[in-house]
Amino acid sequence: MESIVIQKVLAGQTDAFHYFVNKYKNYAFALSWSILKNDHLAEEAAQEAFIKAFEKLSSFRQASSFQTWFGRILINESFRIAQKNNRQDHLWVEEIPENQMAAIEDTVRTIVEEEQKHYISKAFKQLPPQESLALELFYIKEHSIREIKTLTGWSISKIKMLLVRGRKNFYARLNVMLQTEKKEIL
Amino acid sequence: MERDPNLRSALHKKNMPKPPEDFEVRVMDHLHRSSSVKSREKSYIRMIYLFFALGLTLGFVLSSAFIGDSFSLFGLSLSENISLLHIPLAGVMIWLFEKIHRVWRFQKGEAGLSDI
Repeated sequence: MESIVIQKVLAGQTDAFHYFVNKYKNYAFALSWSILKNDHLAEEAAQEAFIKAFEKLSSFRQASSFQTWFGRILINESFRIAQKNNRQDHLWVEEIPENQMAAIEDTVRTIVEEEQKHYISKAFKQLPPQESLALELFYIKEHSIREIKTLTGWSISKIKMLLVRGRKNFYARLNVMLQTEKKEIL
Repeated sequence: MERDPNLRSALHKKNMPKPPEDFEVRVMDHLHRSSSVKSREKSYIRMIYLFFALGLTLGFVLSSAFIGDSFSLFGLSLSENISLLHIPLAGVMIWLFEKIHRVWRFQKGEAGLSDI
């Protein structure tokens, strides 16, 4: 299906590109948001990525899927915008041991769903861009390590390191939030 | 590398950011505008190449015609003072080649349309 749409777009049918915008808009927005952590900037990155993909479609050799090719454009564009806006508002938090992570998971399970969502979203938002992107691609979009390598251009060891660090960081931030909350209640 | 099921289920509970309602409309509108500008640029560039080829051909035809016949300018015979014809022709050719070079750079994305 996608190769037919590509042929139509290359033949001059601009409207046919709507298929890709419709199919990948949520994917694009979620990935760019995991890097930029800002609605306005994520929208800008996603829009620019679609425009670049449209303009460079003739160079797409279809060796990989459109999603992978487009994802790479999107990730590059998001990091370019992040660099331009110099977003480095990530707090350093102390690492926590592996056994404490299970305790944090249990604490999160005891709180109501709406609050769970709030804390989890907040902890994810505080992660550095590369870590949050690695977690988004691996755990939410369910890409394999190999696919993440193609999408990001990172080495396999770097991806694994980011996933391990991202996981630890996520729980550490969640822990800080829960501790603060506990103190406020007491 | 295995996925941690607890982290997986936790992350699926986070807010899933969604693009604004009119996102598709805005992207497609932008693409339509940019493709119409691109097609105008293409026809403009085609005209530049066409006129370059026509000017070059015409210049050669006219200059050989002038050399063959005994035309004179300000009392000077063109066939005897060939530089009178060659200097302006060389000037025009340099100017045309410079224009073509700019168009070529524009097509490679190294210059803007206003530079042509």
